Amino acid sequence: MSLRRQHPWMLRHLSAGTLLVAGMLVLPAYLLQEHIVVRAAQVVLFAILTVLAGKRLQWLYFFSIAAAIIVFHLFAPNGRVLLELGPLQVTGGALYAGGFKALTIVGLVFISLTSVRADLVLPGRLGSLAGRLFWSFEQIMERRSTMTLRNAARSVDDLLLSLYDDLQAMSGDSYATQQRKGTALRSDRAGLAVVATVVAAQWLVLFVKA
Amino acid sequence: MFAILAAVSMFGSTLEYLIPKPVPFFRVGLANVPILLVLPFFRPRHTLALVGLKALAQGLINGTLASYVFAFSLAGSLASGLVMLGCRRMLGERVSLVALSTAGAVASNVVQVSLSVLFVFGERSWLIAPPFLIIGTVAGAAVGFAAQYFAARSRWLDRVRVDYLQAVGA
Repeated sequence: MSLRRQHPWMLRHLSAGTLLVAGMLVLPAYLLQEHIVVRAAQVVLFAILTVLAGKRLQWLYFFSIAAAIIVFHLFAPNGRVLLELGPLQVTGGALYAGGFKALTIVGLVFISLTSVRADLVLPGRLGSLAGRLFWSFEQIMERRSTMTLRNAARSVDDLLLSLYDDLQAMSGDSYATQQRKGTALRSDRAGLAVVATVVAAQWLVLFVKA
Repeated sequence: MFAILAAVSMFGSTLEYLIPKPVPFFRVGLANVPILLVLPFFRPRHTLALVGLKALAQGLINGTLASYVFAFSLAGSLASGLVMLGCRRMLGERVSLVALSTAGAVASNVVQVSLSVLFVFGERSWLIAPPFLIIGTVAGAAVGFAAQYFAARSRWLDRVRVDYLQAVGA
């Protein structure tokens, strides 16, 4: 699973809890960012972090998602007409809105992929629920290529069934101990310094005016 | 069980986020599918807990968690959940998932338009009410059809049903 592919430095210096907290701290700064160029740079940064976190990136998938979002938005013209392709008007506003939304969704997925690690165990019932929820979501996103339009119901059902089995198998104490094997239970100073720098940078760029 | 259902809602929210909205606040309702699926056998308080988790997941995916849009969405989701629970309680198995979904969509949309009139846009926002309600109702029915089709074939849902009923001792 992704833990095996995660950069050894991250596994040794950062706990799963620190990564989740970092993700939550980054999220508002990322979503409040209104400058499209800064947001694009953030997406590149989160993509690099996602790879370091050992997650598989399907570039073609992300590019096709971004392209689809932009094309859908072109059907709702807004602003100056840049180009006319038959009946379709390519407008500046629609292009910007589509591009911004595409970057947003891709970046959100990257943040989620980076901040949720398989050994995440939060305290309490609610914490356990949150950990399982994010783990399940991450697994759906990772296994989404098994879903097909042709057999939509069947393929979704198969995916959920296998995910349900995996989740059941990881319940109780074995979930905590098995997942934490070989990973840092607590982050050390070096890990915290790197995480704090990344988080602080996202908030700082929020206040920098172009 | 809750985790995987909420994760499916979150995935539905992700898919919805990709679809441009023809009118403000409009959502297809894909995130409601897990709620519709478990409505026939979940206890009301567990259904409402799932509704709350769904609203949170939507807020997280859409990035609206700290805005008034989230408050509208939560109110709409709760209204929808309560109406669907009420219909199910009154009509039992005579009511289909399509009807439940449509009723829930109407409730959610009425609440959201009313809130927008009261707190944000003022009287002018009644203008968006007709298209909002029509599109929302059609989308609600479509989601209901999808849920009904899936529920009739899903082995996963059968497992969830059996495990849930065992867990609550029913």
